[in-house]
Amino acid sequence: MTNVQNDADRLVDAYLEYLRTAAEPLPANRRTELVEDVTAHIAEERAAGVSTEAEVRAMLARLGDPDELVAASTDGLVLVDRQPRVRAREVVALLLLLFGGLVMFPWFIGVYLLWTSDRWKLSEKLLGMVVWPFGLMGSIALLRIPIEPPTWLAIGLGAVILLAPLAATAVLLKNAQPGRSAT
Amino acid sequence: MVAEKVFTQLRRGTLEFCVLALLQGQERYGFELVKALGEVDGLVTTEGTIYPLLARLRREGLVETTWRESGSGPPRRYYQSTTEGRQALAAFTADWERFRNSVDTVLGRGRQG
Repeated sequence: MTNVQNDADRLVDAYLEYLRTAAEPLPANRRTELVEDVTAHIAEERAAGVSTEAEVRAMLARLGDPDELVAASTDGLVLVDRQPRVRAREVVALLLLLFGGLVMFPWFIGVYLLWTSDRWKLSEKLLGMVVWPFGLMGSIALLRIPIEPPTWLAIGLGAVILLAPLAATAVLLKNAQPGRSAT
Repeated sequence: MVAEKVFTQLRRGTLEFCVLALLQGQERYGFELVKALGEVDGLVTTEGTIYPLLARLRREGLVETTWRESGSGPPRRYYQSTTEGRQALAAFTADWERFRNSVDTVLGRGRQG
């Protein structure tokens, strides 16, 4: 008897869980109301005597597919697939541009990802090349060139060499949002 | 098969007026409405879709809701028709009768000829 009860509960829980997930694209108030109404409906049915697993199955079948209920709740709404703000693809591109130079070859993959991305405009792709060839390794290599004696100018230049790639990366990261590409 | 599609559309379009009709002079809670509609042959195929319909009627101002305690279990959301709901139902009923008579007339004529 207790097992029968548990199976029925599990069916109801699984149904409501599916409904909650399916209703995620709805505005919060519609989602809450739909889940509330269906939960109350099931409680009424069970109070009215629906108890065995077979009865619960039949009740859920009468209620309908959760996807169908969600579709019925979209009246007057336009559902849009929202893309993630920054995709992994662009993050990988920037990381490879900055650090891929440490072992040379991955930097070329970064360049490839940069130029094939549909998230950046041409000017931004060019800016991406301000991240020196081989990224920060390029900066470090440039800084190794000895200038004797170190002048303020040399120190300033060094700072620019080191900071430019970081600044360019920051700009590209900020601009890697969807829906603004030039391609 | 074709008729099935047509009736899905017809049901979708007419069900809200059946809901409004059941709410004239009487407030009902959601479950009660669903069961009352379910007793009528061929009107409701998925009970759950009536809840989104009720939510829409409220957004459109055709029904109002109030929470009331129930003797057993959690409080219930009761629906009642507004004046706008009554007017919409009256307008639909007049059009529906004309439409139904027209379709019946043509179907009957086809059968005779």
